[in-house]
Amino acid sequence: MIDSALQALSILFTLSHFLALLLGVIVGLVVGILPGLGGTAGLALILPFLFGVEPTMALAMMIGLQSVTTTSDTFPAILMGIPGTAGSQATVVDGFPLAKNGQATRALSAAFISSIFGGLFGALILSLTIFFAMPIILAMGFGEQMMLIILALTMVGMLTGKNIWKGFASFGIGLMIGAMGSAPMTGEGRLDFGSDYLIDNIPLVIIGLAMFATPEIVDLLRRNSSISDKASLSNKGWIEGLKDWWEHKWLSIRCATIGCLVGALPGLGGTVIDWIAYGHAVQTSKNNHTFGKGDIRGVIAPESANNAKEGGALIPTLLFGIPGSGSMAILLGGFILIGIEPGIELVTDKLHLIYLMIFSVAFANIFGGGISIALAPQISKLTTIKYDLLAPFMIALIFFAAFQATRDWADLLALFIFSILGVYMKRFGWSRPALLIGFVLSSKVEALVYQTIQVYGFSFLERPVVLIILALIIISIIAYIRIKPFKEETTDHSPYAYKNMIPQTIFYLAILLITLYVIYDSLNYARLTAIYQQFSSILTLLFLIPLGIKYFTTRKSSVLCYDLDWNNDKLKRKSNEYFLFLILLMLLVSSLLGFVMGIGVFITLFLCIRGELSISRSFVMAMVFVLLLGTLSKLLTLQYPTGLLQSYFNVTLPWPLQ
Amino acid sequence: MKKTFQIFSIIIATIFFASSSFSFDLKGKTVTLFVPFGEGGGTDRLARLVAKNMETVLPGNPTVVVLNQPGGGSVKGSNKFYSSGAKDGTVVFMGSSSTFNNQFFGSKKVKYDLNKLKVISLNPRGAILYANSQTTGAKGKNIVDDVKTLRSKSNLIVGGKTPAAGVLLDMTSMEILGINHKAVFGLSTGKKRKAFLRGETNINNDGTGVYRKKMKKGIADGSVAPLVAYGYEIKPGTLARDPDYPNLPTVLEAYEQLNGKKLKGAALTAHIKLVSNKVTFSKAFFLQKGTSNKIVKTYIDAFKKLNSDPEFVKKYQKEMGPIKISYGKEAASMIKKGLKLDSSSKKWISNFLSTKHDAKL
Repeated sequence: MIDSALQALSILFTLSHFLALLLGVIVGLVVGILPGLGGTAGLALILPFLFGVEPTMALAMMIGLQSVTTTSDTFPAILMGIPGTAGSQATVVDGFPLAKNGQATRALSAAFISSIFGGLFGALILSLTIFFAMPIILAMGFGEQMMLIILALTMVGMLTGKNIWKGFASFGIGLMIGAMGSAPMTGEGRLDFGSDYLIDNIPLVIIGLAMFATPEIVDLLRRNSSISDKASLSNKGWIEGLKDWWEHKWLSIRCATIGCLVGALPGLGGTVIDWIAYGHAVQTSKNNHTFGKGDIRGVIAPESANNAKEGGALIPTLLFGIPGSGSMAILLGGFILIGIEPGIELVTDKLHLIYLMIFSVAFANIFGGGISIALAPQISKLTTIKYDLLAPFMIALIFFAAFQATRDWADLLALFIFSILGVYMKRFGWSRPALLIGFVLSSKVEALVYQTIQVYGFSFLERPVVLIILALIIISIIAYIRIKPFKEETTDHSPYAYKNMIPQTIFYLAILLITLYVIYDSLNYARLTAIYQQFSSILTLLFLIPLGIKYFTTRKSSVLCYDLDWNNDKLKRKSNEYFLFLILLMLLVSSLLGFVMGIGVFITLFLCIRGELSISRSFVMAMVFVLLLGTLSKLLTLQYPTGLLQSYFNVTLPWPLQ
Repeated sequence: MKKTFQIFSIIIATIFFASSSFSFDLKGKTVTLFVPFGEGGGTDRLARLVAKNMETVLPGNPTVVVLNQPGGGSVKGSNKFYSSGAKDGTVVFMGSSSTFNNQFFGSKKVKYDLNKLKVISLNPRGAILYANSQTTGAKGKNIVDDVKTLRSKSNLIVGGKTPAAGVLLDMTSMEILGINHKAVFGLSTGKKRKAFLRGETNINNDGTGVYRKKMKKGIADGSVAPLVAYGYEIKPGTLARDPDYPNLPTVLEAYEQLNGKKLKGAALTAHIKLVSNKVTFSKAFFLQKGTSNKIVKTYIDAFKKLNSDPEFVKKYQKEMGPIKISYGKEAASMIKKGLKLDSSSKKWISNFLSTKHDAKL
């Protein structure tokens, strides 16, 4: 065993392997920063170059890339409020408020140190458990997976926000959005309005961006300032971040353990790990009322977990050759390409390769984290730029990211439509994290409940692991009940004021109507198709009814009433609708000229008019972005959405404008 | 005047002749291999293997890139290619069994017609049905004994994506052999294999190559028992054994051995259709409708050349198995025939689904 480990180290420390690893890390950092692109895209990018490369070098490069995408995705999450990959959605909740308070460097530093630690921890666990992980993974059947999902669902209690009913109703909306598209067991379309796009469910990236990115972008634009009001960024930030991490090292260790465990287990997957870690942090912290407003623990927890998961996720991939996620699937493709057959034989016969992977994970995390920390103070300065100059690029980036979901025009439309929901949920104080967690878990809940019942009936309750998770669920619920809700000032001079109730009442009624429609629509389908839709919509209705009764009976300021725009007549800010309309205009131009030209025109005009730059400077900046899009399309073989110009008039534009 | 006309016509003729013999060349161009599935799946794996090797056999050695357009079990990407893919030979489309299946069962979302596309090649992949020997008692040695054992069991369960997906062949095959079973849906190929390995389902199917690779341990220690290899249609109404597993019987042979007579009627035609769908139409390469015959022929020749390169064939067969590839016209007529589902077979299938699985097509 030690022989193999030493052999692996000596391989890794040859110059060529070292450079291969470093190259992988750099590509990984770049694709991680770009919203919508993650490990899957990065691996797809380098896969063609791996033909004929020495297997161990290819291995170092692939693992290096895969290990660090969840490190650098923290940049957009914290600095812009845009979740770069699904793994950093929870980081946004507290990371972005920290950046707004001028503490971007501190937040980034704490995040990167947590990432490095999580990654190393994951590598360590991988090296210890790979030898006896097989029986554990085999023990995780449908019943166990279902219970894990239910455990994750209990975390939603932590994310409901101030008003429980609004929080649970938001959660219900998330579950309902999950019903759109083909039913997993029958393939029959639900709530698809006859559209091809909804053959599948709405992609997670889109809901994530619509809930977190667009509302923040619109909000910042309305404030007409920079992301951070505090002008100077302290350069000591990164030492503070290190101290923060040290202070919360136990939280970091617990979350890294969660990440590793959940990453290795089938069923949940990378998309919920950060939320489970976040929920865990809220649940186990004493003063938890600062969560959501810029609590450093809310950054440390998900970042420790999401890097640790990579180590965990490698276990089933290596042992069974069964990938747990999209990026693991393509990694597996890469393994086969370079002649490595995953399976238990890998552990028995080619142990040095396993160690090579483990060391690659460890070193990649150190390099990736190190590079990111070194760059953090510079990149943090972005937050002090006037937001009008940044916003058009942000908008372009999120639509680019959305388009990566299924590479369909409808991705852009879906992002716009759900962004409207996100913007008003923010305005009226409905919980966006709760919606997202409901959505993430929806398809899994549906399939696993059915599969468990089909395979076991109720005898799944006799399985020991199920009972262990059941105990955890009960503990989680008790912990939730014992938490004292934090009372915020609900005076007449806060968003909780009881005045001008019409906008929020209209929003409530709209949600109610949609829910009723979803119930009505579910009557059209066969039993197995309809049952989940009925369950989720009726559940939402049950949360909406008490909320509605209170809405129409309450006559004073309380946590029930909430409107961020309560004093807008005084502030005279541009409305949400104004900026949503600008985004819509961008889409309209894109539908005429194609996405690339549309974005170019949008950036130029936006910088020129709202950013008050000269037309020539605006144009140059837009061109830079267009060139970036063009380069990406070459590297990744992307075709951007076309407009009438291309599809109707059959015009073929030269690179990079197509 | 007459002479001028003669010279003129000779010139015209020369130009015409020269241009018609001027061969199709892709020098300096990029050929896109359009894959309506995501990265990392079976179709994508084959696409990436072929893409790299296509470059050397196509005239002008173009760069070949893979474009993934996943969604709706290939329906989204296929619709998109059908409505907008280029006719100039710079886009090659790859379909799989799901692409065929969706048209075969007349899914409402399907806006493409594979009969209209110009087929380059049909690439079959043998498939095998196997069982967990510990929980089902099947031994994998003698199909008659195994079927008799399986008939006495009430715990048989098979996983699949939806009732109309690949698992339909497994379920109807068991129905033909009189084996009662349950099915659990909502499981992709990878997930149902995991469930099989965990022992939660105990009957499963895979491509022969994948089976050999992923069930290596189970095959070695006897915990996985192969039941039938589906074989392929060699002439109308007749299935040949899978050359990858020549010792395993087809479902039709098993039926004959068990019942002393041949399978007949709607069950037979339905079974052969479903086998063709699964095996013969496993993967296919197409060019856009209306592509000129010259371009189609260039591609067919290039693919034939590729498939005679021993190095490529070795890698290819590891993934796909040794069943013969068919090209051009031959492939087109197989597709035309295979995509027709007669009403009595359809009735037999939907009757089976509704009575035994409370499901419909």
